[in-house]
Amino acid sequence: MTEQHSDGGLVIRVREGDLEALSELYERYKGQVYRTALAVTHNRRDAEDILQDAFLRVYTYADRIDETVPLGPWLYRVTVNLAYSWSSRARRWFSIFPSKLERLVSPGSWHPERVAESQELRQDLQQAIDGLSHGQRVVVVLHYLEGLSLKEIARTLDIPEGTVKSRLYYARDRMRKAIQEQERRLVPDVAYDFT
Amino acid sequence: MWHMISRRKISEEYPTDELDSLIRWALRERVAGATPPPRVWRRINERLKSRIAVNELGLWERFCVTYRSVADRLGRGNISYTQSIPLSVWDRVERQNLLFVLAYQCGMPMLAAKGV
Repeated sequence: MTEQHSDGGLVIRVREGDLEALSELYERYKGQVYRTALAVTHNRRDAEDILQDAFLRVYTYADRIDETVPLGPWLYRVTVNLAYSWSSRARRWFSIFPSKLERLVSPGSWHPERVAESQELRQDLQQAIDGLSHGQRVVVVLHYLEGLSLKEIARTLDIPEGTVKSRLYYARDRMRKAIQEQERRLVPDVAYDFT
Repeated sequence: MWHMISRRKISEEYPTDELDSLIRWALRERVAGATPPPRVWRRINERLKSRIAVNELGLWERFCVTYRSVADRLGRGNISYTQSIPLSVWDRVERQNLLFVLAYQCGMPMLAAKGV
């Protein structure tokens, strides 16, 4: 059976330049970092770069990491900060091509009408997520995808819990409007006009 | 089941839990099946190994300069890097240099690697 080392023990070894310890931390947290980065950036290559930079930072700043607590929250913070740098860079290059590509990916096995609806809904939701501000998107990802409580998010991002609540409120409001808008598009006015 | 959610199920008011489910579904769709490819760790490993090599080279150069300076100061002429400095002259070495030389005299990882 492989021995399970604590995060703190591994961080101490990383401080001494131990790449095996870093590799163990990488195996433990790569999923969390990659998934979060991908959900925020919506781009696999960027998520890879963020994952790489995050672990280079673990190595570089190992002596500043508190070894008495789990590494997860520190990594979330680094990931969302790196993703923020990504989004400021990427904003200039935003293009609709990925959206068009996604339209071509079909689930395949359902009724055509439902497939179309589902695809359109998926599309609208993804665009609504993309349209959130970075701060709102991060809160949404950490809460809904990573399952962090509002308190945990506040602690991780070092912001007041009230700010987390308000970001989540506005993000949900925006998502709700996106869904309603899609529904209005799919149900033409004439449908109600058959008296 | 996430994939079966459709607009037909969504009321105009969108109950909180249904909207929450939709957001979760959209996010899971966004990352579905995504795992980082092995090349990411390879790149990290390569970057760090080259960084370590550069650092060691820097240390090695600093050590050579320091050791020569100490040797000159002690008037010992052609001193070998592996040759230990007699205890009697340690107190004549500046503290900063002393610590540096001492660290290498004890561990000598670079000396061993270079076969000096």
